[in-house]
Amino acid sequence: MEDLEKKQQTNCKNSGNLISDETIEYVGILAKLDLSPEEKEQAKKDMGEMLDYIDKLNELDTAGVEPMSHVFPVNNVFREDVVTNGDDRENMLKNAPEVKNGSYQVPKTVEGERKDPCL
Amino acid sequence: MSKEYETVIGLEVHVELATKTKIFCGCSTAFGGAPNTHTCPVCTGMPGSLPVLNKKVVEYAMAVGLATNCSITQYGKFDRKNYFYPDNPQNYQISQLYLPICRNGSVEIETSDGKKTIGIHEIHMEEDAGKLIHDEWEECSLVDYNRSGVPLIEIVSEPDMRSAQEVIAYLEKLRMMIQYLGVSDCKLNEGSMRADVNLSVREAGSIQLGTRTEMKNLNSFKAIARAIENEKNRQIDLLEEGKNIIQETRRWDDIKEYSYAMRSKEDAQDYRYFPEPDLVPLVISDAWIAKMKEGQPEFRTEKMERYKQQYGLPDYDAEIITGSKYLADFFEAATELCQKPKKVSNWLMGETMRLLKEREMEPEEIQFSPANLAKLIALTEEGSINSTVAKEVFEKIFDEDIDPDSYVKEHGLKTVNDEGELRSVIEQVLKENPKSVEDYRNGKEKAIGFLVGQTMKAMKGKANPGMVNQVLKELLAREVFG
Repeated sequence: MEDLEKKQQTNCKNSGNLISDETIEYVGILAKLDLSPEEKEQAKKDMGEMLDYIDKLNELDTAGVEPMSHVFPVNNVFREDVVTNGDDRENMLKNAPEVKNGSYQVPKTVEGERKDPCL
Repeated sequence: MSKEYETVIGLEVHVELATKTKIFCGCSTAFGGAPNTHTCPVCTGMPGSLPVLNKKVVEYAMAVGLATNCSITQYGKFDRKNYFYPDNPQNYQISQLYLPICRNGSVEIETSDGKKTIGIHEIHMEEDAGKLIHDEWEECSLVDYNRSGVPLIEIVSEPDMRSAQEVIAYLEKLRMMIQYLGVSDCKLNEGSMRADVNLSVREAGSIQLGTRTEMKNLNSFKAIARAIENEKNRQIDLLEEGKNIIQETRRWDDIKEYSYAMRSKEDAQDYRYFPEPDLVPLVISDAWIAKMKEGQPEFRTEKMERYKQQYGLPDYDAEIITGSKYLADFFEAATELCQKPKKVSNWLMGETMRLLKEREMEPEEIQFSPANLAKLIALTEEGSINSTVAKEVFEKIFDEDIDPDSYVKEHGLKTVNDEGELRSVIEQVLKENPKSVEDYRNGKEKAIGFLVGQTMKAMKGKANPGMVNQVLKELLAREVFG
């Protein structure tokens, strides 16, 4: 549990009510958002208010309360390892921006810039 | 080099689990399907779709954890790892950060320096990404989501390894264990086992860890060994020049034998993990763990013992064959068919190993069937072909999995057991080689070897060697006294 708390704390390193230009710039990059100067100001204000709200929650004394991982009191929902889906490519590809050779066509993505999920 | 350095290595090993379906949906995981034919709204990240956990994935992860002496996390959950890349349609990967299913394990390895224990930090479950193909003609990439959602476990070791030799020993041990568990086929070249190498160097005797780099794209044990050597030297050179090592991910190019940094510094690497709200917690009871423990398969030591008892194999044979689950399974299947365990063992340890080495292949890449080896053994046992021909036929079996019965028939390779024919051939050979005949008569017994060779040549290798020897000796003796 100590580990968990430490990780959560580092995730909230920007807690506070004033959001800097650097922070909003950074969050914009992470969320792949291209914000205009006006939108940036608005986002700074919104995020500040969100953090205020979180501060409010933090006033509650949670000493001795186990952090919960899910809001529902349910666990162990499983599937058996049985193939239930067939080939539905035609339908699936209707969601693609562009289609080529039975695949989703996307802007050229170069290997060197790859963000591998498995870090 | 003025100073002594120590290399410190930890590994992140991804293993694709051999389930029939993906981790969160009922799509097939079969390899080689046409692009996007094994996809659904869940594994292509459509809004409103919901993942449901494949129970088998949990059991496979537990099996590996138990085999590597891990403790099983009895209250676990999944987390989202956020990043944008076209191979990841959800813009997040479902993984486990906070409560991985297995922790604090260990694996014992053996190298020429003796035994050593390598710590396992954790094992977690996650989903694989899709595959990007770069279009040759247009400025675009094509995405195939058949692999998206295929279950993976990531085995994270402690930084306990000090050399490429230890790394290879660790990987081979892991691979063998996982293959014995039947949890994955662990093929490095096909990507069902992938290893990323975290490496740093420090001055010998220092306790503090140096700055590490992570090396990706290592597709064979040889590539791993080369990459480790290269990266170790690169880091030492930097330190010797008084430069700093940058913590970064590098990509290994095994053809050019060098690595390059994959990501620029400006590139944000903040995955903003948070608990996956679409999946409920995972609770693993003591009873479930006990059941998994009971279900653990026969591992190498037990199998080795059984091979000695049941099949009468010598220690050496049992050790080599059980060194790979594939060889062991193959051995059992072929033995079942021909009932000649020692013969099967000889073919596996001799010619099979020789050809695997020559073709730079791993045992799991064996293409031929146990049935064809069993048939070949039957042919040699009944004396239909001699050992020279058998080796020749075996090479055909190894490369093309031909049926030895029809191959021998078609190519007229059957041993000639007709003594009359053999006699006339040998008589001719003796006539043509009076020098050797004389040598033999003068007590130079080795000369018979040459005559055997000449006879085999004249018979195109199809003669029964025992019979050749016998008839030769008989005729040579007769010519002397007759």
